[in-house]
Order: sequence, then C-alpha cells, then structure tokens
Amino acid sequence: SPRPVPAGPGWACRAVLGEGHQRTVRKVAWSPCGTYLASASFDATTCIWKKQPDGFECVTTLEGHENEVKSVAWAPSGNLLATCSRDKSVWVWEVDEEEEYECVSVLNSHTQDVKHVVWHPNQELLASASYDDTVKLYHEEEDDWVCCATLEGHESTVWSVAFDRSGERLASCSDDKTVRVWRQYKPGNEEGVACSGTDPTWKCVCNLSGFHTRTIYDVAWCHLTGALATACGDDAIRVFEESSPAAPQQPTFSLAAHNSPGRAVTLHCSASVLRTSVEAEPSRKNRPRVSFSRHMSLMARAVFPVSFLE
Amino acid sequence: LIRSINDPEHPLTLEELNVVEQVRVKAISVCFQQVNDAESTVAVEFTPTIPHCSMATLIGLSIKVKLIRSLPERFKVDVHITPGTHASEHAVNKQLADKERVAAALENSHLLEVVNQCLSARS
Repeated sequence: SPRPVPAGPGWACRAVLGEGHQRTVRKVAWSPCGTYLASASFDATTCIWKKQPDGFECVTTLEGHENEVKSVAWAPSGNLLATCSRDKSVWVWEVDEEEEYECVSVLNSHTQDVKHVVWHPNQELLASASYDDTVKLYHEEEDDWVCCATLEGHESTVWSVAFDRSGERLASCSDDKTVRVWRQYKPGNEEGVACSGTDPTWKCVCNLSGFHTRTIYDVAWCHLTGALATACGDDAIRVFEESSPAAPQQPTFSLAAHNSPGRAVTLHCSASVLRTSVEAEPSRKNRPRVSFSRHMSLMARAVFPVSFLE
Repeated sequence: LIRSINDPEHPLTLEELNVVEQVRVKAISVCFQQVNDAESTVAVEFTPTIPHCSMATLIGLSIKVKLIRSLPERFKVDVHITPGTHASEHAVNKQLADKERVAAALENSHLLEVVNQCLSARS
C-alpha cells in the first residue's frame, strides 16, 4: 500500500486513495468546482472521487479504453470530461446533476497513442497531443464531436499542450526538444490566413528550439503573467517570458529562468508560484527535493508535470 | 555485461512482446557510442542480426533495462539501432525512447520475465 509522503512546509497529506486503481496512476485532475477528483490510470480506467467531510469516495469508474489512460481533463463548464489513451482514442464524457457519467463521443483521429488532453479556457474546444507527432482540436458540430484541426510541425511525439489565458494561442511541447506556439485565425481574419468553412485555422507562430537538450514532457502557460514553463528530461525547469512589445504574428519568448541538475537556482516568479513534481519511476525510490515558497529553490530530477498555481 | 543478452524471436511493438513465449540464445553486437559521465548520459547502438528482425524491440528493451539496472540512477540511457541496419529502426527507436511506453510495458510481469531471461541466459 502507498507510503505516506513527508509533507513540506504548510502542506499535510489529507488522504491516500489506494483502493481505486490496479496500476500506475498517470494523471489526476480537480473538477472546476473542486468537489471531484478524476484519476487516470494504466489500468485503463478513470476513477471519479468525491470529496466528503471525512475523506474521498469513489463515485464511479469510467471504463472503455482498451489500455493505459494517459490523461484526463475537466472542461471549465464542469459538465464535460475528456480522457485519452494509448489506444489512440480520445473520449468525451458528459456528467449530469445526478453525477451520472455518459460517454458522448469516441474520437479516433490520432494514429498513435494520445498523451495529453486539455480544454480551452472558455470554449467547449478540446486539444489532444499524440505520439503521432500532431496536436488535434475537437468541438461539437451538430450534436457530434469532430476533429476540427490538426496541428502538424513537430518532428516527434507531442507530450503536452497548454492554452494561454485567452485561448487564442496554444503551446505544445515535444520529444523533438522544441516548444511551438500556435495561433488561431478565424474566417475573415485581417492577416489573410485562409480558413476552410467556419473552422479557424491554427498556424505555428513561434518555435522555441535550442533551449532543451532532451524530451520536453510538459508545458504550462501562466494565465496571470503569460509566462511559459517547461518540464524537461534533462532535469531542468525553464521559464520563458514573452518579449514585449508583443508582436502577435511573430511572438518571441526568451529564457527568464532555468534550473540545472546539481545546482539550486532561485526562480523569482513575481505574481505566481511555479509548482512541479518529481517523476517516480516504478522501480526506483522517489526522492522529492522540491520546496515551495515565493522565491523558490528547485532541485529536481527528470521533471515530468509542471503547472502554475491559479 | 552486454554480451550475455540473448536474441529471441516474435512481434514488433513493446506491447506485442507480451505474447513472447520462448527465448533463444544468440549473441548480439552492441556498441557504446557515447558515455558522458559529467552529463550522466549513455548512448548505445545495437545491430540486429538481420534487417527484419522482429525481436529488435525486445533486444533494445533488454539492453536498456540492463544498463538502467547497472548504472547509477542519475544516468540517462539512450538505446537505438545502428543506423541502416534495420527496416523499422525509426519505429523501434521511437518506442525505446518513450519512457512511458517502456515503463508501462515493464509493468507487465510476463514481459519482465522474458527480459530477465534474455539477460540471464548464457550461450
């Protein structure tokens, strides 16, 4: 059974949910209302946990994927959930007031494992990242979920995607050691970018290359400051800030902070705090050496997920 | 260290290796392409016995596991096929480089057993 994790300053472990999954838990996500926690597992299921006064209760288990579930994400509305898997599919689930979950779509657009799903901040638009080197976008069209865009350009697996605050741009990170920023161009746009029908076109407007020396596993876009953070297999966390004045069609980002293995580097994130966690490999001991404070010193190993606190 | 790895036979992907039943002993040629102690990286190339060897993934996986077990934890291990020696080298290399697929595959006790057999048998 899982061992209790030593708490950092100001943090206490409230619960260990050890009975839900039979294999690695790959991703967890809080619902927008904060009452529910979804957990995605290699055992091909996604558990939905409800916060109770005395702990958490598993209210349902979402089944259907053929193999490892890699990611789960709640839509901002709170009524929709998305999951994705090595089985190449993305599933969209609807939840009603009676806590009943129903799969409303199985999207088979990707040709390889799907690593990550994330929702647009204010539209019912879903993005997925895949081993097939693409990012795909989906929305509902006449009661059916469809793939409305495919973002090509990465030269290897796309591990993660993040939208900026407005949702006009998204950032993707890849095994090809680059982060790409894509921008949405709606039909009739001033820049003259062609669109087919009523769907926006997404174009790559920035390619951050030469900064990372190994696979980039995660990217986070701070909705407060606009900074981009990356989690890389070379054991470093990098924070990029957008150069101003902002040139929307050709944004440039510069490296604002970077921690390297063996050296503690202080990251000053003025308005927001960077949270990250250390990967745990099944056969090795997990040695977290991360502390949280306004000015942070980080020594991490093979950074896997990274996110900004809202 | 490396010479003791066998050369078995069957399907291609990490996940398909699940059904491997039998392992046959044979030597495989491995080259330490680069060892960088300061940066904690090791890159290894291996040459499958034939260009269509369907066990290339299992061989690569076994090499990777052997190195990870033998080296200090800080090491990043890259295992790939010697360029030009296999018809599906890109697909095999990509799987071996995907730590999530490797980790998920190794959670399978049967595959782990096959890998251990590969690593333990003597010719």
